[in-house]
Amino acid sequence: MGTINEDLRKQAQKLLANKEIDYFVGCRQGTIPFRSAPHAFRTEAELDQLTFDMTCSNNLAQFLHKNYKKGDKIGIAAKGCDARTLIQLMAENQFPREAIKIIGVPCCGVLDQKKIRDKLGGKPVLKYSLPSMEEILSGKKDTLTVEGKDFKEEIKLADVVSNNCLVCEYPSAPLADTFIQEGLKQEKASGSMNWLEKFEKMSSDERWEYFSKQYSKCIRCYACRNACPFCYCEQCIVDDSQPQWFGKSTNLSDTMVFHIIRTLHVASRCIGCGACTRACPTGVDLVTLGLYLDKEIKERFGYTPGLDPGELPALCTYKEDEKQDFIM
Amino acid sequence: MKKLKLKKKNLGDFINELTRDYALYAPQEKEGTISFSLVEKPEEITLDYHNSDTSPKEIFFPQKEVILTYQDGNSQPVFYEGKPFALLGVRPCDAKSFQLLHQVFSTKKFEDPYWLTRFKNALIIGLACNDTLPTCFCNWLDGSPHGKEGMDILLTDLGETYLAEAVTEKGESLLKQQKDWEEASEADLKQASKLEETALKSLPPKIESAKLKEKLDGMWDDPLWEEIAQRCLNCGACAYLCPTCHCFDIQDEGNEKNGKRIRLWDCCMYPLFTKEGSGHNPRKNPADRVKQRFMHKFNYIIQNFDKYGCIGCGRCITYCPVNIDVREVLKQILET
Ligand code: SF4
Ligand code: SF4
Ligand code: SF4
Ligand code: SF4
Ligand code: SF4
Repeated sequence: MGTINEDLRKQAQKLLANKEIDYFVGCRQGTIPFRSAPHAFRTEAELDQLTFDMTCSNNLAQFLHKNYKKGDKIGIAAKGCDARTLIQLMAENQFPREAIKIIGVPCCGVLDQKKIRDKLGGKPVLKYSLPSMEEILSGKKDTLTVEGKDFKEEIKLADVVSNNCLVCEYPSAPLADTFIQEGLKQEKASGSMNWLEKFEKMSSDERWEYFSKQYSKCIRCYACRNACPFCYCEQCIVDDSQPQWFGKSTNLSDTMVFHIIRTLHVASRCIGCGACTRACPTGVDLVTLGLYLDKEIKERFGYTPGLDPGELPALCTYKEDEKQDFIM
Repeated sequence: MKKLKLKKKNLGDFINELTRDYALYAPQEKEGTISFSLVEKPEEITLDYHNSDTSPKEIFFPQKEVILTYQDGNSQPVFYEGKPFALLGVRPCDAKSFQLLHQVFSTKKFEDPYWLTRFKNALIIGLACNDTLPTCFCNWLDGSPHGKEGMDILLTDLGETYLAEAVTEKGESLLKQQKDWEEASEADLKQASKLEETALKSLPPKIESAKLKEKLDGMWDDPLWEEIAQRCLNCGACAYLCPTCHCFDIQDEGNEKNGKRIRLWDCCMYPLFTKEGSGHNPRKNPADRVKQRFMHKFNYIIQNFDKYGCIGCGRCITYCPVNIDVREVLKQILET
């Protein structure tokens, strides 16, 4: 047994060598701190660059789905949320189970670049070092070191991990063909629910104010929508022109409608990966509303997306015996 | 041209003076994002910054601008009518971007009255970069951290004071009014050029940028575009933060009787950008849209305006969710 990364590369190389897959989806180290690049690895040699760590913050299942063509056989390094996305997309008939070889990787959350930036007051990071995945997962290390022009600081990982990772209930793939280093598998995120609970305690006026503030930062770049694995409509409602359902400007009324509609369109499908929030260049909090809806749907319909490839999303189906007390 | 020194403790007075005659915009931080916003009080400004997250082009070319209103069969164009704009603390790369945008919006054939009304009388006070960011690469594209192109005055932070150098007649006459600013000494100028040297050294080693255009001439069918498109989200984060992107869409809001016509930023990465009335889309494939972005900046704009279409600010590098780094793309183009 080697390190997580060594084992992962070996597994991927084996899949390619045995022609079990056409290519392998994973991450490459990025060109700037805390960014990584999703990549389709097509040769064994190329796989030397395959990396999995806390900077792998894109949803790889989104990358896979976007590039999937009928008949493809694809391998993927899947965190809990990547795997749940795949399962959910299978439930939505996007690709068959046999087409995908899922290699589960033990996950301790991904970093939120903006949290790091805010923590450092915008001072640019020139170098950083993360402990190994093994050290973090086994609880031996819980800080990261960042270095800039005239500073060197230790930051607690818990302070800069993405909010959704703090409350993640499935850090490990619920469905996988192989799992790298079972011993390090995490059952449930140990992070606190504080921020979600704080949100729940807000009055509706306070919530309105919070989201108004968030959505007024939106510049309508659609990075959130395009990073989201469940926003795959060929024609998105915001791009409709006949009729045009709502304005295209950055006025709050327009951005608010856009975000509320998007949240509703992914409700009962959103698995809370947080890719939308991390993709946003202006720091709009998008995942809180999604996670909150997820919780409501679980309470009302007993449904959690991304666990069973054979079950349709709760809001896309109807069962006679489901709880209906919200209908007057 | 005049070279004076502004003591930092007198910066507030200078700002107050500017706000009397101009609508003054300067970098301000709100909710963790730095943008050029209207200044009411000197305390709001942060000149101790690297670069703004959003580009200052939004002052002359707002993301949303009402350009016309109509009522009962009559229409009326709407032009900016406020005080002339002054921008304080513009980085050299961004100041250069205004020059390119001005060329685009005022060609021999077409003049854009909306851009011109805002830009024509603007005063641009730049701020040299002593401290570059790891994503900066202005040196690849005819720029410098102490470049003066597109400015009326260049400020250089010398510690206790700013060196203020007039670049245009307009800058010169503003400096002439500053009776109590000292003349800069030989030593001050030496310090400034030392700072420039250090800043230049901190930038990445140059590439053969001059060959980009010719290389791209032969890359219409290159597999590179597909390769990038695999992970590119085709979002607008890069274009909307980019100081040189200038595409827009026109929309009408209202009904047959009355309403307004607005122009809104648009972006070539969006599928709708080239969709024609017939439903046909010549750039249906995401890779074609990726190609457009790089071709436009490093080939077509050079051909049309004899300038690079990118000024090397690095904003798109910082914010691309999938780490599409324009510097890597340029290297790949040269290697092709
Ligand atoms: S809405 Fe956001 S959190 Fe939910 S699946 Fe999409 S990207 Fe992930
Ligand atoms: S990524 Fe952010 S700025 Fe872009 S559309 Fe989404 S919320 Fe708005
Ligand atoms: S290069 Fe990056 S920021 Fe630009 S469209 Fe592609 S994913 Fe979005
Ligand atoms: S392409 Fe990127 S680096 Fe070049 S000017 Fe635009 S945002 Fe800046
Ligand atoms: S065509 Fe694309 S790259 Fe060129 S200015 Fe327009 S949005 Fe920017």
